[in-house]
Amino acid sequence: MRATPDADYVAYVSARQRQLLRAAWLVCGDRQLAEDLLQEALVKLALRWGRVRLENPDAWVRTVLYRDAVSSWRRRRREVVADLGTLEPAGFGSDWSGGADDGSLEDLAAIRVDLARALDTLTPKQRAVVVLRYFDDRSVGETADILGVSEGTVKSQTSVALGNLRAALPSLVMTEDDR
Amino acid sequence: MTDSDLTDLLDRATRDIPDPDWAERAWAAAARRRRRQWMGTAGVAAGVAVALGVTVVQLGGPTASVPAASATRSPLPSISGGPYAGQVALRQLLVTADGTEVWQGPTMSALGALQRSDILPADLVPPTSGPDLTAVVREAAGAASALRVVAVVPVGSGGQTGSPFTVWLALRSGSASTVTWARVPGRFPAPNQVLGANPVGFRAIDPTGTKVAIAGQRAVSVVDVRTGAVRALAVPNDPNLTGYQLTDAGYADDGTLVAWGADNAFVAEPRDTALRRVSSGTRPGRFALSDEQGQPKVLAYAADHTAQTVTTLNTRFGFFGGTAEVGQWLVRGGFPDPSELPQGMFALNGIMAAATDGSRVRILVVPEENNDQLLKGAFVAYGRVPGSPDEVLIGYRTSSRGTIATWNLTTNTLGFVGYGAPAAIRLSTS
Repeated sequence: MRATPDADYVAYVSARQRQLLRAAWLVCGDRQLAEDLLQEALVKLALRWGRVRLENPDAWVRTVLYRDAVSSWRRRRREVVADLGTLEPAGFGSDWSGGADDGSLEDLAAIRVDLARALDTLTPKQRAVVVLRYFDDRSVGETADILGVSEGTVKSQTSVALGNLRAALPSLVMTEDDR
Repeated sequence: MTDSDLTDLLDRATRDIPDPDWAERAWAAAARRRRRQWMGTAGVAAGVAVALGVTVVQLGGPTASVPAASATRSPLPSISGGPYAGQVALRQLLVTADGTEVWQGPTMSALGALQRSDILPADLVPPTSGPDLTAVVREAAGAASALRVVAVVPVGSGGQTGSPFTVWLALRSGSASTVTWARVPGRFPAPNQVLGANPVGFRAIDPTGTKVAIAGQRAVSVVDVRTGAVRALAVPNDPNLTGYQLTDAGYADDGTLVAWGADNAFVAEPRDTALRRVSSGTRPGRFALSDEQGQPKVLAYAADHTAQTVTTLNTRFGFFGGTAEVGQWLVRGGFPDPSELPQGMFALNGIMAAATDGSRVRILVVPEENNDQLLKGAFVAYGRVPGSPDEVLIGYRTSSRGTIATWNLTTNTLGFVGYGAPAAIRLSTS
C-alpha cells in the first residue's frame, strides 16, 4: 500500500465525506461516534481501494458506514439504557454551531433537539432506514441492499418509524406515500 | 415547522456540519493498520524498504539506471548454476543505494525444488497428536544417548499474540538422523497483547540443548528434556512489578536465561529458582539490529548490559523476531516501510544481514506467491550453520507452510533445508 493517497481515492472522499458524515451523525446521533464511524469506513475503503474503485465505492462505503453505525448505536444504546431518562439528546447539542445558512442558531438548535428526541424513539435500524430513504434519497431496494435486509423489512420499518416520528413531531405531516 | 417534511428537517439539522479533509487521514491510518498487521502476527509480514533514488543493476549485463517509478515485477532469477550443488546463487540485484544491496531470491516453491541439505530432518512439522514429553523421556531413559532439542514449535496461537498455545519439541537422541516429537504438557498463555512479543524466541533452546524457555505472563517456564520436568521462574515479588508482564525469553551463549518485557529485564543462572531483575536493556546476544520508526541501527551490548548504538544504517527497514549473530554479520527478518518503497514497487518479504560495523548491508527479498494483496510471509533468522562461518539458517513462514533454508553471506547463495516453521532450531549438539 502506497504512503501517498491514491488520487482517485482523494477525489472520491473529498466529494462524499461531508454527506457521509451527516448521514452517520443522523444514524448514531453522536458527533464523535459519527466521525469515528466515518474514519473507520474510509480506512476500510482505503485498504480495499484497489478492488472497490473498479466497482462502486459509494455503495461499498455506504454499506460499511450504515451497518457499522447501526451496530455501534445498538451497543451504545445498551450501554446507556439505564440513563436514557436523564440524557440530553446525544450529540445534537452545540457541538457544531457554525451557523446555518438560513434561520437563526436558536432555530437550528431547536430543530436539532426536536429531531434528536424524535429519532431517539426509533430503533437503530429504523433510524438507518429513515436516513437512507429521506436524507440520502435511496429507494426501498437500495436501502434493503445497503442494510442487508429484505425490501419488506424496509417498508415495514419505514412505516413504524414514520409513525413514531409523527407522534414525536406532531407538526410533521409527511406520510410514507409521499415518497 | 408545519411546512417542513422529513427530508428538509434532516437536511436542515445537519446543514452546518463541517467538512474536514478525511482522505489523507484515513489513507494514512489504513497504511499504519496494514503495517501493524504485518508486524503483529508471526505469519504476516512483508518486504523491504530502501532509500529512494535507487539504481537497478542486472548482474551479468550492463548497469542501467532505472527510475524508481518504473520498477515493476522482475523476472524471477534462475535457480540453476549456483556455485555449490544444491544451492542457488542470488543473481538479481534489485537495488543498491548507499551501500545497501537488495537481492531478489527465488520463490520458496522454487527453492524447494533444489536438492536439500541434510543438516536437519526434511520435515520439522509436528504431528497433530503424539506422546507428551514425560512419556518420551521415560522411554528414552534406557537409551545410551540423552535427548537433545533440535527444534521448538509452538502450535495453536494462530500467529496471534495473547492466545494460549501448545509447544512441540523435536528431539534427537545421539547421532540419530531422525527426530522424535514430544508435546510439552499443558498450554501456555501468551504473554500479552504486545505486538512483536516472542514468547518462544529463536534463542529458546539453551546451549546444551537440554532446556527450553517459554515466556509466560509472570514467569518463564523452563522445560528440561533430561527429566521431562517443567519449572517456573517467576518475576520477583516486587510492588514495583505488580501487573508486570514478560514478553520474551532466551538463552545467552553462556547459558544464562534472559527474560524481558517493556522497561524491565531479568536473568536466571542455571541453578536459580527465580528471575533476578537486572538492567532493563539486558538481552541474550552481544549485538542486535534494532529500528526506531523504520530507521535501522546496529546495537552492541556492553558488559553492564547497556546498549550502545554502533551505527545507524542508511536504509529503511522494520524488524521483528530476533537478531542472529553469524560471524561478522547480524541477521534479522523484517519488512519495509511502504512509504520508502519506490513508486510502483511491489511489496516483498525481507531479511537483512548487516555487518556488525554497519559497513555492509544486504537484504534478501522474495516475491509473494499469493497475489491477493495480502502479504503472508515472514522471514526469521535462526543462527549460524555449524562449520560454515558466514552461513545463516533462515526460515520463511506463511500461514500455510514454512520453509527452512540457508543463506551463505560469503557466496550469496541460498540452500534448501526442509519444511516447517519452528520458533527455534539448534543445529549443534555440543
